[in-house]
Amino acid sequence: MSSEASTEVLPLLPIKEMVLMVHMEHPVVVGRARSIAAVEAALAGEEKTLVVVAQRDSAVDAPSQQDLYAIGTRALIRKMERRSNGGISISLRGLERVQIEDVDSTNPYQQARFKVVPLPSDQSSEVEALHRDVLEQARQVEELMTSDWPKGLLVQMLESLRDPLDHVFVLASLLRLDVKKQQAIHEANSRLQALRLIHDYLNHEIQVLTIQQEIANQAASNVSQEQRQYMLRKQMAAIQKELGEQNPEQAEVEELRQKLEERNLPEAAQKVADRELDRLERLPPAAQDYQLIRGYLELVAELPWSKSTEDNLDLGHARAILDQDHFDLAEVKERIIEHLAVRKLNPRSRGAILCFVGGPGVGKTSLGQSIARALGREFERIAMGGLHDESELRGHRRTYIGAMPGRIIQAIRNKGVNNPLLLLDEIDKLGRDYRGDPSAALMEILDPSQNVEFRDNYLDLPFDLSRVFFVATANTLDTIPRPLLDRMEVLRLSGYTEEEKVQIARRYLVPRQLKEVNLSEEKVRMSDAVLEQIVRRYTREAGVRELNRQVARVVRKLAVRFAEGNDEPVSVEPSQLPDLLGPERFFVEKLRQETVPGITTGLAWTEAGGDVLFVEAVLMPGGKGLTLTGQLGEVMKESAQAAQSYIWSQADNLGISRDKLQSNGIHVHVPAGAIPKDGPSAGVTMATSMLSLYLDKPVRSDTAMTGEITLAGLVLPVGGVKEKALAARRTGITRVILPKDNVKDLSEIDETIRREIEFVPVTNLKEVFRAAF
Amino acid sequence: MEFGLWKPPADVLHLGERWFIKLEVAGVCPEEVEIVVHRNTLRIRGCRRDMLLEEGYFYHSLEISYSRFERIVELPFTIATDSIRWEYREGMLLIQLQKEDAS
Repeated sequence: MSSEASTEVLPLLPIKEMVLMVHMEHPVVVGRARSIAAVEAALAGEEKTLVVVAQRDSAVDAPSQQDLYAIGTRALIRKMERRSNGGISISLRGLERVQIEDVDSTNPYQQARFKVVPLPSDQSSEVEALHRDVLEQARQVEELMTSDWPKGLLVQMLESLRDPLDHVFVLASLLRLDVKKQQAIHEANSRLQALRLIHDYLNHEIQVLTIQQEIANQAASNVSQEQRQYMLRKQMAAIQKELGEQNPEQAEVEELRQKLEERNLPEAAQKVADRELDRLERLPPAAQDYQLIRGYLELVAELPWSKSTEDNLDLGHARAILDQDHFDLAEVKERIIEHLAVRKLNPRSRGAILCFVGGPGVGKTSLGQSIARALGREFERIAMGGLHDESELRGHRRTYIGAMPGRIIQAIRNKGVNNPLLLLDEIDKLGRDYRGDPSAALMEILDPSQNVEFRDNYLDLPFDLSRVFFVATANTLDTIPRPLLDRMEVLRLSGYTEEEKVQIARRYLVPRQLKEVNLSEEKVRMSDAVLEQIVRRYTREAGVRELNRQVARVVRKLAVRFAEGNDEPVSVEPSQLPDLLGPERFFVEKLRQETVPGITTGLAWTEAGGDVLFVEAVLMPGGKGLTLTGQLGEVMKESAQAAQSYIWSQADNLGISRDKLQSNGIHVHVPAGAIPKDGPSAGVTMATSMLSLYLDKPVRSDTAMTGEITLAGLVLPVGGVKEKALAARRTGITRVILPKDNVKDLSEIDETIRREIEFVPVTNLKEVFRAAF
Repeated sequence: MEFGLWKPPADVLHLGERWFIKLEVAGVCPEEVEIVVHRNTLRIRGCRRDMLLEEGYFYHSLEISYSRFERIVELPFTIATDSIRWEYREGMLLIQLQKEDAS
């Protein structure tokens, strides 16, 4: 065609968001009135052609020449269809590139005066190379394209064309480049330029598509990883089933179920266990509840709901064992035998609850063990000392994390029988605080009528404790709450006399210690004199614990000699003791030979047994009233005041001058000053001290005394007479003044002591004073 | 997919040594048809112009391609240029030609 330079006029159709390139065909929907008019005008032409040009800004609705690119396309309307909304769908085919000279907007539609701009046709090796590269890129792009693009179509399309520019145009249209980029390609002055542009865009497109694909692949691999694991698990389960194996959780549940079935649970427990088992089965092992429920079920399965030991009710056998293990303690042993006898006659009788009270080391705990041995019962010791939380005994509710059953249920579980002997050790040292009072819980546990259905908070099922043999021990009864004390049968284990201790040492302690170091009894001989010396000079206690330690020390020292090669039997002499045990630890309180007025020997009862104490009193000329020192408790202070008041009121009868009373204060001190003392039993002692002072007459030094006084001068009975007598004897006292009402207690005291000490029973202070001076 | 100018459909047939090309170009002005021969290819160009162009005609829909067309037909032999004859009959362009050797 030879119309290259000439200008023509055609209707103008501005289009948005795209550039119609030469040889390309595009559907376009025409909606704007002016554009519709332009299309109508084109249709009214012979050739159905118009000029299409892209808008610079698609937001402009009625673009003027400035809003349009200068290079457009002469296009043929290939097809046309009217739409129901008045718009027109047309298919446009680009015929030629045109340069718009100017736009005439006077008609209802715009008209463009334009000049054809032929496509470039430059040829060079660079064009050739770039062209090949672009085709290769196109292949890659198609490779990377996902979704809806049919594979191979792009390449096929490109192969059907030969002109490099046609390739560029196809690619530019299909890549959904923005208008600016498309227009740049459309306007390109040379093939080289067009190819470079599309080359850059394709490069960018490849990168984006690569990243897109990576992301998609990653997401896909995440999904498939999980699916893989799921499939593997399924397969594993299938294999295990095939092999007759179960997965560990399943096996665990089965094992528990079996255990529970074997246990022969009570109905209530069976119901709860079944329910919990069902829950357990449905939970994954990783669930928090899983371990909780498992722990609970294990407890239920391990508790001895119906398993118990047979009691050995042979009284002779029991007696033999008790004698074998413990020296003396006749009263306690008798009580135990009684209990067995009752059991024998009535097997359904309730479990007894005994409480042993006595100083440390007197054998309370080991007595419990002996009973268990005699009866053939399982033995478990539960330390109560310092227990101050009710839930320690009764358990925590299962809702709490780390909840556990209480000590009682735990002990029964450990022993595996429902009738063990439970030793509640040091029950007097129970604490109590805001968390609850454990003694209240103990009351339920120790009440035979309530403990048939003991309910542990953790277990939350009734458990029968009535077959349990409870034995409690305590050093003192003072701190045990009354209601609790009422439920127990108290058996006192008073201290041992020196003779008894020597016996215990000879029969039990020495053989035991020798066995400990693997020496035979023939090798080491310890005479009673040696043991007596140890008892007297190296220990001071009601029990035999310290004695045991000292014996052990001696034995160890001897063991060294044997280990060094000596093989000759050794006989320990009293004179060797300082070498073996060091200097004597305790001086037997010698009687104060030269006593001065105002000093009186009293007798006290302590947790460690009896003891001697001195009451010292001095007159303070010019002073007034009564001063009391030596850590005296309230009760003791009051009895000192009572003593003073009595003496003042009876001054005339006692022969004390009024002068002396009025012009002097009095100070009473009870050594040792650092040890707290309390109780009313020093009343007579203090009264005697004061009187001795006022009369300036010393008290007999071989005499000790105990007894509570009243203002009327009566002497009331006191406790711990046996211990006090033992202490007096230890100190070398030969006379003891004691209330007449306590005489009956003397029967507990060993024959030998009764022979050595003269007991002076009194009913009032006058008799005391008569005996004291 | 088509590119560029519209292409009329074409049949190629022969009767012995005489080859015929039939082109469906109804509505095309025969005077404007241009036939160029180069070795074994035949390029036919022309233009279809709308003949109903009086005032008041209004297109409701359009499917016929107007304006210029171009059709290139390749034959399995070199065409004898001077053997070409053509006529326009009932909307079809009928081209007659022969092999160069045979002429």
